[in-house]
Amino acid sequence: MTAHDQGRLPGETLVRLAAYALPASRREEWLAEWLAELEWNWRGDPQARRSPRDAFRLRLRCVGAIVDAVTLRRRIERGDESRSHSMAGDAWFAVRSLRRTPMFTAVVVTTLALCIGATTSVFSIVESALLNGLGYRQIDRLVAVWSDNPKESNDHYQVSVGDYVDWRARTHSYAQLAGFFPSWNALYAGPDGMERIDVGAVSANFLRTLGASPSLGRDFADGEDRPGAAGTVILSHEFWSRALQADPRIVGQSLTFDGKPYVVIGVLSSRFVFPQARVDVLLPLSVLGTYLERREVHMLSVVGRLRDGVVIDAARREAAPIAAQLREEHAKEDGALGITVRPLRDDLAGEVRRPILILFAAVCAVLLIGCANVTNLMFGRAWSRRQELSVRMAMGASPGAIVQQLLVESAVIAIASGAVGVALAMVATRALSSLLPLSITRLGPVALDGRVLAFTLAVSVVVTLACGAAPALGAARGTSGGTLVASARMSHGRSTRRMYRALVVGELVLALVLTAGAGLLINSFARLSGVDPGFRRDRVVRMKFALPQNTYATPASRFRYNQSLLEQVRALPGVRAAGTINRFPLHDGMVTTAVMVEGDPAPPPGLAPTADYRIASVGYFRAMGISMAAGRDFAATDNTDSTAHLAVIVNETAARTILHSPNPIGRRVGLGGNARPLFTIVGVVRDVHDPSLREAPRPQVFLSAQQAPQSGGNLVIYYEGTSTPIVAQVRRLVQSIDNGVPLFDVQTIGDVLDKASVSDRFTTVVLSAFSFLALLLAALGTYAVMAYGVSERTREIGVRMALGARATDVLAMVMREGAVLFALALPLALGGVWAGTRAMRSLLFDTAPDDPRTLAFSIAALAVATAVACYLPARRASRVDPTTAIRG
Amino acid sequence: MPSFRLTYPTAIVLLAVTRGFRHGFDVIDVSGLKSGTVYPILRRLEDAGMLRARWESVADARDAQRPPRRYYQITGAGSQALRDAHERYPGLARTLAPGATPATT
Repeated sequence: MTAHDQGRLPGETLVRLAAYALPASRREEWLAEWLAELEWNWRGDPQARRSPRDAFRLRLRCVGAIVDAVTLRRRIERGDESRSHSMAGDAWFAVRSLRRTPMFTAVVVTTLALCIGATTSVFSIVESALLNGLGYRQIDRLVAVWSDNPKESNDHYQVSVGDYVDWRARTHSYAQLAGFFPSWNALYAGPDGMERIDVGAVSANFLRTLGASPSLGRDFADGEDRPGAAGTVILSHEFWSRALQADPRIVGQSLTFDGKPYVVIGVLSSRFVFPQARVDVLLPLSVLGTYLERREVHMLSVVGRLRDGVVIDAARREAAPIAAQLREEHAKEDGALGITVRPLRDDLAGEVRRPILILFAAVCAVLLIGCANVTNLMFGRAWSRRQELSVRMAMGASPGAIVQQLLVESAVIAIASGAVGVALAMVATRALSSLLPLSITRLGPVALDGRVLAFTLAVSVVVTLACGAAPALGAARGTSGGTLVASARMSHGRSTRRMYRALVVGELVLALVLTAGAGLLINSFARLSGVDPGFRRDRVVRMKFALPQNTYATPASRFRYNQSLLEQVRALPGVRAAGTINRFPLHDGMVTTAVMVEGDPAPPPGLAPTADYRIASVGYFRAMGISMAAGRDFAATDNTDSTAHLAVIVNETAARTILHSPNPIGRRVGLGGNARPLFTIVGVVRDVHDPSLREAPRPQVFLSAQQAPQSGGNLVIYYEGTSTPIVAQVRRLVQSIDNGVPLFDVQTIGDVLDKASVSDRFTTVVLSAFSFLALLLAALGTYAVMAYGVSERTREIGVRMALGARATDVLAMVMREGAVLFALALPLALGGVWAGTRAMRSLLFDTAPDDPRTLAFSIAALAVATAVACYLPARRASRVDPTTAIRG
Repeated sequence: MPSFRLTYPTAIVLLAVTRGFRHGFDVIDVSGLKSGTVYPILRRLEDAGMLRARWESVADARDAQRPPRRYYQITGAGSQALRDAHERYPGLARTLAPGATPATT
């Protein structure tokens, strides 16, 4: 039995009651200390006699427990404990004090999290598209080398195999110069039947040039790309995993492509990104067959690794005389060609570079606006806590400790916002990736990797310092004067108020620039969506089929297959028209050929007009809804019978620019730089937009598929009802005709059009979202400053009203102040808009960067937002009750 | 570490602990200060790292059939502060009765 049980001690009740002043976490230990002291004092000496007077004195002493408990509680609440002098203590205190002001915390964290999240998502795109090395070693030493074709004003014109071989033999600037064709394809005989796969045809030194090597097996050896060498193949990581279940013993085994055996010598790493296109396998350049010999066919991309110590300008200087030599030696094919050398990084990201940088600039502007708001809020918070801070300083806290505490508070906010921001970015990145154009995603996976997270961390830290430092320093300065109580009614210094306004003006400027930019993009996108592509926009479906080369080796066999396929497709219920075309508009890119008009004087070498040429079947134009402007469509009689002429159909642009006549029916042209054979123009079709909706139609010539039977291409079907049953029927049909023929890449015309504008949609949607966010934040910032101004001037307003000012006068007074801010922002903003929208010129379609309507609309939007932001505080001001205001 | 303002009562409490008055009530008894003064000072000194508080071991306490008490020890920082306090309050050393010894140790 212990002494505890012998009834209550004098003062114990008081101590126990006092303990309730403490937070539960501290109560027990505190109570134990006091009760132990009581116990020892009262019963510590068993011999001692205790009088009622002793009991009274002990009770009196226990009154001190109340003082102890209450002061301890205050210390805990103020965080004025040992921990508060360390960073961790400040952080702990900051968390508590932020929890006490949930509105402030919520607004600040939400603002920063949105800004950080948006910045992080955009940076993840920047990183993947512009900074990432794509798995190449020293990407800065890599260059893309193109032919320069001034005639088509195309300085990244594909390179002929002959030119590539000559360049390689004659230059000294490169440690390696590799050629590749990114979009060859082949039929792979897999266990589940024929599959069409994408092939990168590459020179043997391709991987060595990029500084990559297979993660399994070996690279191509020199000479393995020569015609006649044994077939070798390197698999992409994706194809190896998908089609071969990542078989680790695959190296050395043989796979069949296009009916020929190829020995697997290696597997690429999953990090490797093939330039320009997604490919399943790498085959040696020799797979291109007869194209190797045809100097007039420009199909290769060339990438070089500069020799150590050679700068890109030196490589350019060396290229000029080589181009001149080749122009002389091969006047017919290379007559006008030069050589362009560009950094590979720019080249890969070329078309996406500007939109991405613009988005990044936009998101940085949003971040700045958010920071300005948060800085204002933090100033307000530091100000409203000046009494608390004064007390702390009076109690011995140094200004440094105060600054530290406030900065730690910002750091806590930054960490919370950073964490929420990263979570938002994860969601946003996932959502964005479905919206991302292929031109970005093929540059590598867009994901939140270490580098992106490091960036986020850096942004959060910088934001912390930017938003927290000035208020913290201001607070420390403001309180050191020791103006404790009197300051309660004092207002901000003039300089602080000026800074508030400057921040708001800055926000308005940025918001207007973003809104104008987004307005232009929306305008441009609307116009782009309104572009008539020149063909049907719905109820057309396209799909690809491919004939195995060994089974359909002769033109006659291909002709028979295509003929029977089209006949049977047309017989299907729901099919209104069907045809084939080798390259589908907006989908398959263009291949140009020289056009020589019979009877025209021969053009100078290499300067013959060129046109995109395609091979279309009977029914293609009807299925696409492309009407004839003159002459007739292809007919069954445009065949290989000896009596038939070779027929060609040209588009309106070709008729106008090459044949100089709207109706050139009956005239004859030679194609591919050859005078023979001559093709007779039988019709003129309306223009379609190709290769993109933005570009004006280019000259096109169409050959008859019956006279040049293809081993596959696009099957185009104009249907009624829905596409799904049609596609299913066609699938069964293709299976039944020959199950060795794969059907793949099925798309409705809507998909094709969507994909054609995906890049524009992406920039438009994202920039609009940013500008909306900017507008919202700027309005919030304006609101906060105006509301603060009103609350600060309540007494003044009260006096004015007491002296006879009407509510409307007060309303007008406050609104006028908002108008002044807006008026200050406007000229600066117009300057910003002028500079900002000029940078966007290349993104705009049929929209001038200084489109006055868009600008007027943006200004109006911002004016409305500012007006609303000012109206709410103004209305509150106009309802001030003079008597309470003056007394208060 | 921010500056710590060492008031006279604070110095007395520090001195008492240095002299071996390790428990709150002992400090109250020897200094003549009120409990409502002494305890907050003890807390503040502890927070400032000038005192370190410990609990007596449960075994010792059980022998005495009394609950373990919290006792305070001076730290290096506390000793330094006390030296400063002696300079600032020259009569400090005489505040506590010279012969006073703690009732319990």
